[in-house]
Amino acid sequence: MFEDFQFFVEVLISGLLTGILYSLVAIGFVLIYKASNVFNFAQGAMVLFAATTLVGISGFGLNIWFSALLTIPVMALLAYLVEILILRRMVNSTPISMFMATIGLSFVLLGLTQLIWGSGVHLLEFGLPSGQFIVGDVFINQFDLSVAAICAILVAGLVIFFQHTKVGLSLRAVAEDHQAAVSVGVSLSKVWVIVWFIAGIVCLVTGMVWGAKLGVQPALNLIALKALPVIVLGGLTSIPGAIVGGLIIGASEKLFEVFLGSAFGGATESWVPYVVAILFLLVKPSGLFGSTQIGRI
Amino acid sequence: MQSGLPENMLSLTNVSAVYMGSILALRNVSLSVPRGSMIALLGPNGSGKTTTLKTISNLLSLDRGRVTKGSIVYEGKPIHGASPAQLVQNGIVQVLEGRRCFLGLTVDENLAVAANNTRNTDHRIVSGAEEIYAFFPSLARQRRKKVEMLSGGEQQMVAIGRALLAQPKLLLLDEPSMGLAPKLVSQIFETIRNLNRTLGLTILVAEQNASVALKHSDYGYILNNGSVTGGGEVAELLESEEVKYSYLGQPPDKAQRQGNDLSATNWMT
Ligand SMILES: Nc1ncnc2c1ncn2[C@@H]1O[C@H](COP(=O)(O)OP(=O)(O)OP(=O)(O)O)[C@@H](O)[C@H]1O
Ligand SMILES: [Mg+2]
Repeated sequence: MFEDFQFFVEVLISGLLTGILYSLVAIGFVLIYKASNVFNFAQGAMVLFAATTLVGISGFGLNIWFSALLTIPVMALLAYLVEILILRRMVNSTPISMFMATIGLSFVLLGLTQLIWGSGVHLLEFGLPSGQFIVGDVFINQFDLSVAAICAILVAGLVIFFQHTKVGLSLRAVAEDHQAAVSVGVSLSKVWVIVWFIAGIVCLVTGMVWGAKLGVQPALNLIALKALPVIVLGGLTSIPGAIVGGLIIGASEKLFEVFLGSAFGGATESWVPYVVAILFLLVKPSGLFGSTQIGRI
Repeated sequence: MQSGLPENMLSLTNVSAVYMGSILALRNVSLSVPRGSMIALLGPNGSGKTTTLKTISNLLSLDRGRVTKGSIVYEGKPIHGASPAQLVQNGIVQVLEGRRCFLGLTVDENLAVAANNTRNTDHRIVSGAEEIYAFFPSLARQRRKKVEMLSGGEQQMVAIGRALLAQPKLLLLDEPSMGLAPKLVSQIFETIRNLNRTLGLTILVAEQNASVALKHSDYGYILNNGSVTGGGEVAELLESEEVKYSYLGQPPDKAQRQGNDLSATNWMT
């Protein structure tokens, strides 16, 4: 019995650590949605684009961390181009046409990635530890734990940026009410470039850790699908929602697969997250951190 | 009055505006706002008050609207086509209808958004947030509260304070009385008039509550169905049939004719 419990804890922890990766992808969605009201279909393509660019640059014989550093200005350029070529021209469009535009963006990025760097699987090795590590009697994967630490640092960085800098405050103001923000001098174009750039950095980090886990390959594009149930669960506008949602999805899909998966013929990870999200919505339709406005007139 | 600058800070001549390329919301609107004045823009629901203010601030461009004809001249220069953010830097700042505070941010943060994004240094009218708190002591006590916790009147103060920190030369106010108790409405208008007098701030205020607005303004214009149907000195307007009808929200033919007698061009010098 005790052995069982220990195993349960191990599966749970490994699920939570994977969940953090889902959280990362979901955070990218939430950032862009909050600032520009766009549901960014190209999120997965951006992850692939970032990771492939990084691998491509390191292919010139550069150190992997230095290559990551060089990928940052590429993501800034991408954000800038998205702003002048798409967002600025579509300020007044409906959400659905914006969504279509991001589908277009996603194809452009995927095409560009394959054109420049090919479509093979590239290994991405940046020296994260890969052994096991034992706490009491529980085994924890060191790789997953380092990934979790990286994500925690990233999230902490985002929190500091949004809560404690002037630009972060302008971003929050735009997320609250973009017209009101413009009415007191905030430049929407500037805010959009910054947000898409930050989302690009989040994609880069996501691409690095997923790529290190599974190799950098076109299938990385599909991890955006993993973020959908997380967003359903956590809501499109809440970063804490994205984090907690990712953890819940990661843990539940892993526990289900390990303990009940064989009864359902295995490979349950592809559908369990959606079931969890839907069940959750039945209980709490506004999502985990669904906003209930407390206001007075 | 400073020399070299036109006496009218702002003038609109025959401005028409549409939403979504086809819905005509303003027709040949002409009006002028003399430097240092407080001007009321009156009219019933849907008459085009908000649209008029938004054509000036060009926030219209964020509502799928645009100006189709006419000219808007601010400080002697045409401003048609300038971006809203650019216009704010040039001193045209609008307080939106319904206040539109950043509800999830604190009072301090609401004010800081405006202060942080203002680049102009040549026409500062307030030194900083502390001056806003001196104007509105009840905000000072709640500066670390989220704005959603504040009353409607206090939210209006936040909205005005935030606009002042954007360092306006021309303040556009859209229905500051909306949803406020009558006593508060008078207080807000007294405050606004006070800003106009003490800071020398030029103000154009759209308002349905004609009696309060006229009581605190120099001139008034009347909009009906997207056209200016009247305008004049407040004393004159208070006597006109047009205004009496506007109180009732009816724009009958008789009022139209009366309005034309007082048409804007009469006193647009
Ligand atoms: N975003 C929009 N899209 C389409 N039509 C609009 C839009 N905003 C306003 N209109 C239309 O333009 C006309 C003028 O509206 P506007 O909001 O300027 O009136 P208003 O005088 O401010 O009214 P209220 O007193 O109700 O605020 C109305 O017929 C309205 O239906
Ligand atoms: Mg209005």
